[in-house]
Formats: sequence, C-alpha cells, structure tokens
Amino acid sequence: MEYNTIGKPQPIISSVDKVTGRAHYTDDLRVHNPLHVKILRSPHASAKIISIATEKAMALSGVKLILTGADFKNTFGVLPISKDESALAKTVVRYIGEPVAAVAAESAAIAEKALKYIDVTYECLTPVIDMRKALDKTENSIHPELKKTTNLHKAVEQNFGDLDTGFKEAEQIVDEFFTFDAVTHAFTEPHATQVVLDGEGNITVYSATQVPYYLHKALAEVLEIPMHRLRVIKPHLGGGFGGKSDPFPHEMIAVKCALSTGRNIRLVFSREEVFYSHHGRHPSRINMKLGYHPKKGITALKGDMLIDGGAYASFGVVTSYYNGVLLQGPYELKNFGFHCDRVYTNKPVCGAMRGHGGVNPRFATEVALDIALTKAKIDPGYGRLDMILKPHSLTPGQFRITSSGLKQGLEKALQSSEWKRKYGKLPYGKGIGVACGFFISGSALPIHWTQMPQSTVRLTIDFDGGVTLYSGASDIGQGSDTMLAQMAAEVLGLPMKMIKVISADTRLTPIDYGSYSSRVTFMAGNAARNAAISIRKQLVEAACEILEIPPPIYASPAIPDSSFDLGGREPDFGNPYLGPNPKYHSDGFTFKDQLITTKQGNKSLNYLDVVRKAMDFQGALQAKGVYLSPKLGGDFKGAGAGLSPSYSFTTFVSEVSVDTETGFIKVDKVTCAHDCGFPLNPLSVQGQLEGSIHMGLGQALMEKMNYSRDGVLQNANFLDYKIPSAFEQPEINIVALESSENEGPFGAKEVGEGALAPLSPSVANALYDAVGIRLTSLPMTPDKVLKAMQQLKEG
Amino acid sequence: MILKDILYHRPESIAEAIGLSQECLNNGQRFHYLGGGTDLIPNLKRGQCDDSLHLISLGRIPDLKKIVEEDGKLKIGALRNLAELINHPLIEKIIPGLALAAGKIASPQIRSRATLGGNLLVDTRCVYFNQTETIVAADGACYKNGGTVCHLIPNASGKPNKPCRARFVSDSAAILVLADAQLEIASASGIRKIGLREFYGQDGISRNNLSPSEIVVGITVPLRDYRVMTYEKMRLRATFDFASVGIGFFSDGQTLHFSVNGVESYPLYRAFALPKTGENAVEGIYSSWLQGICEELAKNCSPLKQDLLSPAYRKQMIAVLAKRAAYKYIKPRSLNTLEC
Repeated sequence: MEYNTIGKPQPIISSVDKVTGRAHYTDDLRVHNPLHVKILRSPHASAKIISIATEKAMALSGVKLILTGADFKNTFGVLPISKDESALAKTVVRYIGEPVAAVAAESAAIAEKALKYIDVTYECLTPVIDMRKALDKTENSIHPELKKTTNLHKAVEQNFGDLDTGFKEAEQIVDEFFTFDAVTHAFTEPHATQVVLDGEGNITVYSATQVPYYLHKALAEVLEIPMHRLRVIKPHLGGGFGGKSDPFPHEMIAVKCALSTGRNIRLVFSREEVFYSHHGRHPSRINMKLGYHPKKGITALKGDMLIDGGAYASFGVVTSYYNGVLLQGPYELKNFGFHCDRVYTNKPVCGAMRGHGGVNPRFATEVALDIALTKAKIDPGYGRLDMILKPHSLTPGQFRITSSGLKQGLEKALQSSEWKRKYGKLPYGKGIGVACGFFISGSALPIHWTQMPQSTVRLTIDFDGGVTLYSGASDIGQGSDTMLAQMAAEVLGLPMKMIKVISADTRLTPIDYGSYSSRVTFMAGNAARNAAISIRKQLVEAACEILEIPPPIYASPAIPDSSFDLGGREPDFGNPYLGPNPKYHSDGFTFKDQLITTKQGNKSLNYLDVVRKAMDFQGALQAKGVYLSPKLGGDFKGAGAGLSPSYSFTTFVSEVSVDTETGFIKVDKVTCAHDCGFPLNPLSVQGQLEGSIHMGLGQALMEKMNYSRDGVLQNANFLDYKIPSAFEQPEINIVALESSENEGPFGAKEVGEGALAPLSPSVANALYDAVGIRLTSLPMTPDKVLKAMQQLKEG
Repeated sequence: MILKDILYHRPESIAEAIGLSQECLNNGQRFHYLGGGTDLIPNLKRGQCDDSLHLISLGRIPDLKKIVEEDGKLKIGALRNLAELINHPLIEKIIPGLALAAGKIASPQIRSRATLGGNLLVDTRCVYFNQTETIVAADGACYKNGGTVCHLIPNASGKPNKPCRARFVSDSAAILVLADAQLEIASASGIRKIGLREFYGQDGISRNNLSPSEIVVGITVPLRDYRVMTYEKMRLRATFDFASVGIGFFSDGQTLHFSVNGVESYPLYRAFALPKTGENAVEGIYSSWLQGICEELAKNCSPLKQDLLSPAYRKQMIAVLAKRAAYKYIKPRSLNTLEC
C-alpha cells in the first residue's frame, strides 16, 4: 500500500520550537501576578505530627497562606480502590520528603524563607525501610486505617495449568533469586503546576501531567469543585515515563491555594523534590523458578515477588499484577503461576515507570531461561526460537495474542549480530547475550469503570481548509501529537502542515485517558483515524455532488482474522463506527497532495473546492472518531490485568566488553528488533528504541536510588544518581521489522515501553558469555562484577 | 534554593581584590572569591556557604591568567579555565599529563568555566555534606556542615577535634603534586610560595593552609621531563563525575611517583625509588616489585562508604589502577584496558 505520510520519517511537530526554546513548558508560562508556593517536607521517615505552629511564618511580610493537612478533607490516589494519600500529611509522616505544609507568598524567596519559620513538632517512630521487615507483624503499621497486622499492601496470586507436573516434566530446573534497587524516571522537566482564576469562578490548571483527565477528576473530588469549573491544560511536557501519571499532592496544593487566596498560583519543583515525588520502579526481590525441556520448552514458570511500594499505594495494585501477568509471554507456557506481595515502607512512593511492573521479572525470567538453555547445552539464541508464542493464540491467563513479529525479529537480530560466529567463541572478556520480551499496547481496561470509549478525537475543517484535530491525549515528548496529525494527513491526503493538533486541554479536547500503558498510538491513533475517515466521507459526498456521480456504497468493515481460539467467544471489536481496520479506499477516490481524484476516469478536484462545497448550507465540517477496545479476557480474579487489544514484541542482542581487572562492563553494541506492527513514523520508532536502550542501560549498569538505613535518599540529584552519558550509549543496530496489526491504526502497535525490559537481561547474559558469571542483581556495578569473578575463580 | 542578596565586586588587580576582602574582614562581613563558580555557586544555592555575602570576582585580573615559561619554570595563572589548559601548546609541550587530567574533569560545559585555581581549591566532598537542607535535617548536620556528628567514621561523633574524612577530588592536584608544583599565594603582606604537597592538610574541613583573604595567583611547575606521566580516573559514569578513585603516576627514571585522589581528604602522594637494575631501569624492573608498591599504596588508603562503589572495591582498585598507570609505560600495552 502506498501511503502519503505514514511509514515515512516525520520530525516531531514541535521539535523546532523545543530546540529553539520557543516551546512553553509549564514553568515557562508567565501567569499574571501569582503567589509562589513552596512545600515544607518531612525530615523523618516515620513520625507522628504532634503540632504545627505557623504563626511566626504567617507573620512574615508577603506570606499570604499556609496550608497543613487539616486543610484537606479528602484523600486521593490514581486507582479508585486505593485512595490513601492526602495532599499534606495529616497525623503522621510516612517518608522523608513527604509534604507537611505549604506556603503561598508574594515571592518564591519569601515562601522559601517562611518554611524555616514553621515549627513542626514530631514524635519519631521506628521506620520500616527494608521491604522484608514490612511483612513482620506490627502494631504500628504504616497505614493503620487498613487495619492490618503487617505492612502488606496487596498480595496477588494467579496459577494456571499444573506447576508440579510442569516441573516434573522439566529436564532443567532453575531456581534463582534476584534483587533490584529502586530506579526513577529522571525526566528532564521537573513537575510544575500553575493555576489561573477568572472572575466567574473558573479555575484553569496548567500542569506537567501525563493524565490531564485523571487529574481533572481527582481535583474535583478532593477539593469538591464541580468538574465543569475546572479546566486542566498540559503545556509542552519534558518527559514522563510514568512519573507524571498520578494526580499529585502538589497539584491539589496549588489549586487549594488558588481557591483560598483568590490569586493565581505558581508552583515549581526543584530536582530534589522530583526525587521525593518519585513514583518510579519498585525495588524488588524475586524468586524465579523455571522448568525447561529441550523438546517442550518452558514446562513450568513460577515467580515469587516481593515489591517495595514505599509509603503510598499509587498504581501499586496494577504493578503487583503486572509483575506476574507480564510473564505469560513471549514464550509458550501452560503451567504458570506467581505470587506478588506489595508492601508499604517509609520511603518515597513507587508507581508506574516505563515497562510498568514487567521489567524486573523479565530480567529474572530471561536470565533463568538463559541458565536453563546453557545448562542443557542449547544455543540460547536459536534455542529461544522454538518457544515463542505464535500469532493468534491465547496465553494461560487468556491474553489474546494477535500479531507477533517476534520469531522473525529474533531470527533477524541473531543474523544481523552474527550470533553464530560470536556466541561462545569470543575471547575472554568479550561476550554476546540475548533476551526477548513483550508488552501491552494499551491497557484494555480503564482505571475508572466505564463503557465510554477510551479515546475520542474531534476534527473540524473550516473555510480555509485547515484541519484542527482535538484530542485529550498527552504529548509527553513521545510525539503523539505528530502521530495524530499523521492520521488525519494520511486519510485526507494533506501535508502535515495543514493539520493543527490541539491536545490535552480538558475544556477543548474530548476525553482521553492519557499517556500511560503505551496506549496512545493504538487508541487515540485509531480514534483520530476514524474521525478523519468520517470527515473524508463528507468530502466524498461533496465531491460526488460536484462530479454529479452517485455517492459510494461502503463495504462493511472487514472482520479481522478470528480463526484463533477466543475461549469460545465471538470477537467483539466494539467499534461503533468503522470496524477494526476500515478499508476507506473503497470509496472510489484517492486523496493525495490536496487533490481528490476519482479512481475511475481520473477526474481531479481541488481539495479546497470540495471543502467549500461540503460546507454549503452546513458550515464548518466536524467529525468525531472513537476507540473502544474489544471485550477481552477471562473471568477469574485479576483477569483484567495486562489485557490489551494487542502486544508488542522485542529482541535485544547485546555485545559487551568486560574489563577483567576492574569489572567495568562496556556495552559495545545492541542489536534490536522490535515489533511495533507497522511503524507509522520510523523516526519516532528509532527515537523510542534508542531511548529505551539508554534507560534500560541505566538500570542495568548504574542507576540506583541510594537509601540509607534510616530511609534517607542520599543521591537526590543528577550528579549522584547516575544516568548514563553519551559515552555509555552503545552502537545501536535496529533491525527493520514489520508486522501488521489488524486492529491497530494502519497496523501499528506500541513502541514506547516494551523495548526497555529485555535490555538489562541481554547485558547480563552477555556478561556470562564474556566472563562466566551470572549476576542476579541490578545495577550490575563493577564491584559486583569483580566480586562474582573472584568467587568464580575461587570455586 | 534561591540565592540571597549578594554584593558583587569586580576588582581589576590582585591588590584591589585583597583590599576588598580585608574590608569585609574588618567589617565582620563574609565574602568569597569567585573564579569560575562551578563549585561555589551550586554550594551557595544549596545553602552550604554563608549567605551574607560579598562575592569578589577574580575574572578581570590579568595577572591571574598568565601561562608562561620563565626562569626554568612553567607558570600557570589560577584563573585559566580547564578547557584552555587542555589545548594550550605550552602545557602540551611541558606537562601533557596535566592536560590529560584536566580533560577528565566534569563535562565540557563545566570545563569551559571552571578554573585551575578553583579545581585546586575544590571543596572536599562527602555523601553527608553535599546534601540539601531537607537531607541534612534528616541525617543531622555533620561536623563539616557545622554539626556535632560524623555519620561516616565509627565513634567519631562528639569529638572535640571534629574529625572529617570528606574526600579530596581535584584531578589537577593529583597530577601537580607529582610534579612538585608550587603555589603562588598573594596576601596583604605580599606573595608567598608553598609546595602543593605541603599545602593540603589531612582534615576534610580545614583542607589546606590558605587563609581567608589570600588569593592563589597561580602554580609553578619546575621544568623536567614529564613524558612518563599519566592519570587514571575511575568513576561509574565515564564523564561528568568525580573520581571514585584517581591515580596519578609519574616516573623521572629514578623514582616512581604516585598520587591517590578521591579517597582521602588530601591528594595522597608516595614516591618509590626504582630498584637499581642497571642501565635500562624503567624497562628492567620486576613486576613483583611493582605489584608490591601498588599494594602498599592501597594499604596507605582507607576508603569509606562515600560512593556507590563499595569501599573494599575502591581500595582494591587503587592497586589495580596504579599498576595500570605504571604499565602504560613499563611494558608493552598488552593489558585489556578500558578508558575509565
């Protein structure tokens, strides 16, 4: 199929503004005469708040308002089942850095000075820092309201098939224990929120958020404001990675300050505060037991996870499930089970981070599988090929696998990296390793139960012919605005410059759940494409009128290949408009280069003439497109976790050099094959893969939130929290790979998250090939490498 | 943290600068000399320096920016930025090891601001010192932060002598101590000279013997053959980081000179006379002797838990890096080396 704009490299539409400094991030907005808000944070990991004296601070000239926990009645949390957080701590503090009081003042300097004049009397309690201790019986649990005798937040478990039989069938059983330090998103732009009031009681909130709609809802609930008075706008955003996908205390504080003072508000975080806000990857302790048989593949897989959630729930229930359910791919499995305990500790909150919940267990599984394969003397690269989930199949937990390019991807990556020539044959200190993974392409279930479509996109065309596309989806730097514009440009045969995307403004843009779970391309992309098709129909009608030919009869939507087992249910694609991948080309016209041409007879009309004809008697053209995912999954406990209309698949082959005297690992080259369906924008795909490799490398080699025994985060800055530099970034070899996802927009799937998880195990497996050691803990710092090498030498 | 009201001065001579600082001292006002500011300004922002405050910029004083070869010495002005050192023909000709070490400091952006003087005087670092107010409050202020405890050295809290083991991290000093460079220091009473080896003290708080109103004018390097000189810098990330362990190495043909950076509160310096093995001394030394002195070097150091890498590992690396540095010249480069 010949496309107009998709499948071709498109620069991100705001890229020039971003690199020239013209793009406005939340911090760049200059709202009129705001009060500046600063937050007083707890210096104790666990303490009772005995009293807060604010009089001295209030007495400072320029201080207008001081808020404490008593000013907030309602708690909140991103998941409706665990709203356990107050904007400011009420009776206890649960981590160092927790917001305790907020000052609104005429300048940031005054607000900051006033923080020093607030006297908080604490009674210190013994904090729980080590996640293992969180399972001990206690009378003073971190969340007494849960009335539990330990600090367990959530225990989840699923079992499929027969694990005992599975392990009996195995020739190799690997039973390994893995540990993972906390890592954080480290996005460029610190959190910021600004609030603007008008005289009619309307509240406009500018915030650096991935989820304007959830924020809108949470603000309305917590502050008891009708939703229609609130408007949430996400300006340009400097990276999210999951770290801006919760409604946050500072956002509640900013709006509350505006309401209480009647003034505009400006609140901007320091980098240190970003570290306290955290919501990054859960530190984990994982036991992975894997049974392998050369003929049968993985005969059984059992994971036991303990994950450290920090002080509050956030996405924790989802994270707990994802730790388990994201193990049921990308290999065929019958006997599979997991148990995951998420515990509360007195540390900053953990939540969603790129590859949500799936990253650490993927490391454990891929390393365990590598151990099994090497023990069985089977090539760990080509050996994996026989085990891969087939397209159009169901996993044990009834994930509906539709398209999969993994087999082709793994084969190509092995070939392209010259695996056969290198594996097991490189000199001591050099090694090559492989790992695979898969990820959801949009969570099929919304966080709040509703039958509303997950994405709605609105399009208008006025007399100038320019297309305005309204979408609630958040461009967080990943380029979703560009993707949406591509959808419209493609269907309407227009240049990208004629499409203006207005996004993430809850007053103007129709609802979209936001940027998380790699859902935007699939869901908002489908909605945008559907909206464009709908407006195209109007143009086709007008064109037929001009040409005096009868309007086309549209073919009914093509039903995708449903020959695979759906557990006895009919496929339900739930799309009220156009079906999964509508063949709009059956309308008999070609839209290209602003010309609308009949396929038969080759009569061309000018796009603008057709637009004006279509506007006769009805004015500006409007259309709406939606996406609602099909009904999926089984009906057992937790069956909804990890359901997605499609899944992406990834292979990494990493090549490393190990300095055998110092233990430093240098990743020389990474070969990557990622199945994102049809790559809508190859430039964005490349960018996402390079970013995933960089971020994965950080967790693999050096990133770690360094907590002291007392729960003090000792590296809350970018000097001591080590993100890899350009020096560490390896040569990247991206293997071209295309599959076509029937239900994706033009065949596309996700590329933002899935490609992160298999990076670190591919490095660990290469490390084994290089020097014969198995590291089972991240990050793989040189001191760990050297110690393991010495232990190997000593036997 | 927002910088408080600051009085900014821009003197055009050393005498004027010293005059300003004397005036501050007489009036009981606090001041800092400002070079490139890459260490001072972040520390001021973090509230680690006093915020009273007069900043006396040294950037307009021509006498601080010389690089000349005279009287059998190389003289480098303290206000020369690190990027200039890396590319300067005189430094390349006389002491290329200094250019090498300067090139390993921080990042290109910082190197084009940070000065040699500033790097020589860079404050010692500690995981408990280089922290924000919230974290200092959480831990309890340590000696170096004006408190009464040390979180790092066992049983050190409450001691009258306030022991401090904050780490010395100047990469340029690690090279210049090998060359027995001298500092030229100006004060109201004139110019004094002191060897860099004597300049630094062992205490992480007082650090060196510079008094408040003194200005480091520059450094003098005696002209010798510095071709057999190198600097090994180990850090988790290959750029933009202080040394977890840094090893300076220099051989003058009779003696092997080593320095250790990033571990103790000063640049540890040790010299070992080569065993007499006839004409070709450098080529002829035995690897076991070298192994021995490298291990002795490590024994002289006691790393503490101030880094993401473990103290035991860093101690081990002192010997590994020292050997690696020496072997760069002593044996053909057959080792599997990675740039650290």
